[in-house]
Amino acid sequence: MLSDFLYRNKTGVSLVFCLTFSIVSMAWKGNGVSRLLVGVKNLGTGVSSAFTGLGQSVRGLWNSLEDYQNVLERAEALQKQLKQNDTLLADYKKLQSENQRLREELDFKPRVDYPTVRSEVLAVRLASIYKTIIIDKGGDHGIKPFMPVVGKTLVSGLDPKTGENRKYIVEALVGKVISVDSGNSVIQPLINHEFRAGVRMPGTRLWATLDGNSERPLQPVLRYISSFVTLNSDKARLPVVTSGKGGIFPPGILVGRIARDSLGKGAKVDLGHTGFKTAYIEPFIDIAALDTVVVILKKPHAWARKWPASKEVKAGQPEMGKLVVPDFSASELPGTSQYLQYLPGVLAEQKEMLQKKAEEKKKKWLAKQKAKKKSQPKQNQPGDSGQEPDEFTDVYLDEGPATNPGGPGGQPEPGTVGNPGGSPNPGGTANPGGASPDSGNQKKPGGAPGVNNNPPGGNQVTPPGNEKKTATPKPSTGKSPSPPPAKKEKPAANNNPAPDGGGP
Amino acid sequence: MFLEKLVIAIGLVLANVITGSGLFEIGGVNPDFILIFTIFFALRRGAFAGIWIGFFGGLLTDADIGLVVDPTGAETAKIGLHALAYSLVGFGFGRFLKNIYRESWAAATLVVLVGGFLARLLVYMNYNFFWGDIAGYSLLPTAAYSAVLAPMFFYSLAWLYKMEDPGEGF
Repeated sequence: MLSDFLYRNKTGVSLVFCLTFSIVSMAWKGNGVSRLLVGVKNLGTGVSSAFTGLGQSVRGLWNSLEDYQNVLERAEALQKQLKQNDTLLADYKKLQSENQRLREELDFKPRVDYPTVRSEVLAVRLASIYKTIIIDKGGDHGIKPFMPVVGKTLVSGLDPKTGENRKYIVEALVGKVISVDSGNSVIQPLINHEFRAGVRMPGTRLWATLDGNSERPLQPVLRYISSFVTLNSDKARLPVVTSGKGGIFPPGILVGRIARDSLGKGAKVDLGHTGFKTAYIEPFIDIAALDTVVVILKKPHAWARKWPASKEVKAGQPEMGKLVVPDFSASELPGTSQYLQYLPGVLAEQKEMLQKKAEEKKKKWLAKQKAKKKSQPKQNQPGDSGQEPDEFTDVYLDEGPATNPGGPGGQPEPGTVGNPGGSPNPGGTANPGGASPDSGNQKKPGGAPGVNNNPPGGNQVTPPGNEKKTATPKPSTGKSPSPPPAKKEKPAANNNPAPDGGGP
Repeated sequence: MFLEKLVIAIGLVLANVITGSGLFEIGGVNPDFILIFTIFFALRRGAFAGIWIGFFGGLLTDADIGLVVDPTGAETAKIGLHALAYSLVGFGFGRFLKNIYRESWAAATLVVLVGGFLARLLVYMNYNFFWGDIAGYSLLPTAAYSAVLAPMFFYSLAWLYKMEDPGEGF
């Protein structure tokens, strides 16, 4: 009966089965059947590789037998060659030393911070909905998920000594390992839509998130670029590197350059991300043409730390254990690294110390303001409403790219990205070091790392230190904080609105 | 009967390999040979064949993605993503177009263009629903490229399988 029914309605039953199976598999992402199917597929790949290997072995054996007749002749020839090799060995040593010298000249030094594994690329799957790269090294070689992967490439740049354009061999970001088998690994390239990494542009205020989920198939997008950052110069083509703040990638790995069409007006304001700018990036590495990669054997920072007993990884869980993100209490300081709370006593002490410091600064600042008011009783200061400035409550222990695009190392590069005067400017003052290319030669002295919103006026009262500060509005006196004036610097550009990117 | 199924299975695997190889890639766009295969058999053999060929072809494509370790350390697969879309397209084309479809260069192009777009739209929607946003997923370019290559593959497949319509059966 049932078989009759099934046979009569085989199309309908088949459709229902296929749809149900697919939907259940998608909803229950790690189910056994799915894993089995992937396993079968991998097995198929393994079997085909084994067949290929077997075929090659048989062919090799046959060739060896064919060549057996020539073995004696070869042996004779080899003996002669052996003598020649002595000479070659001397040449080899000479070349080796020359190579070493050239390496030093090229600044092409081997990576010393982490051990690495060089691997051949077996397949680059860019046609798939989930772009991956498969390499021929895996768990047997110490590779684990979330290890960074880089590749060697040629990058053109200016020689600091000669000032000429030349090519450098550099290591640039390829992606990260997302799955490991004993003999091979799967890499998530930076153009995969699930790829994310924190990046920055050294010497500038550009901090952003590199997002592979881009409309362009081969160009990832930089998100969360502060609206104060201006990408209006050719110098914004400086290389973008990993920030190292995410914990997965070491800092300073080259990623790519901002695409030319993303500079200037090309940098879109992303309304979906609360007004931050976005820009496309041209990776240094040509993923489609990769043949070898280097896996950096670096575990994420979180795993490198010792976990407290209560968070111990239990047997039966995945190799690295489930990452447990601790809950933040309301009193937690903003920006505090979540892992600091596992260091007993340290956080409490630091919190207390920083709060004390903040209190002291607050008192000093208020006293100074009072003294100023007394000395200038009738002069109204725009923006000075008598409210306590909230900058004293924001004390940062750690700074991230999204919250503080001008974080450590964020000193303004002359004429490149970064609009030092791009803060809200109620005083109607200008943007002295601002967005125009003309002002590019200005250099701000000692731009304190972490200070995002430099005051528009040069004589701004800014408490010292490394904390996040917001500019207190005050009328500008036209004094520029920049010491040497630029070639075409406009004198005291007061009352001119910032021409480009001058504030939100 | 079994031999025929075996030959179809081998064809599916070959189509999967060619799609994954990037042999026909132009400007980052690859044709979807599994889909051409599915639509071809759906139009020749009907809905039943369309469903199963689409389903297995989709499973092959999904298995290609492999297991991915997420930040929690759990391994997940994306099985069912293409299987659902291709089996639905196979069913739809076999059920509604089999009787009106007449072999021609233009017809082959048109059905693959429409089928390709629908299948990819379904995949895109499923991905968004189950996994999240995927901005760079190519909808129309891939469908159009597949459609351009479709007549050649339709004629090649027809010659390879030398099919006479066996009716609604598989």
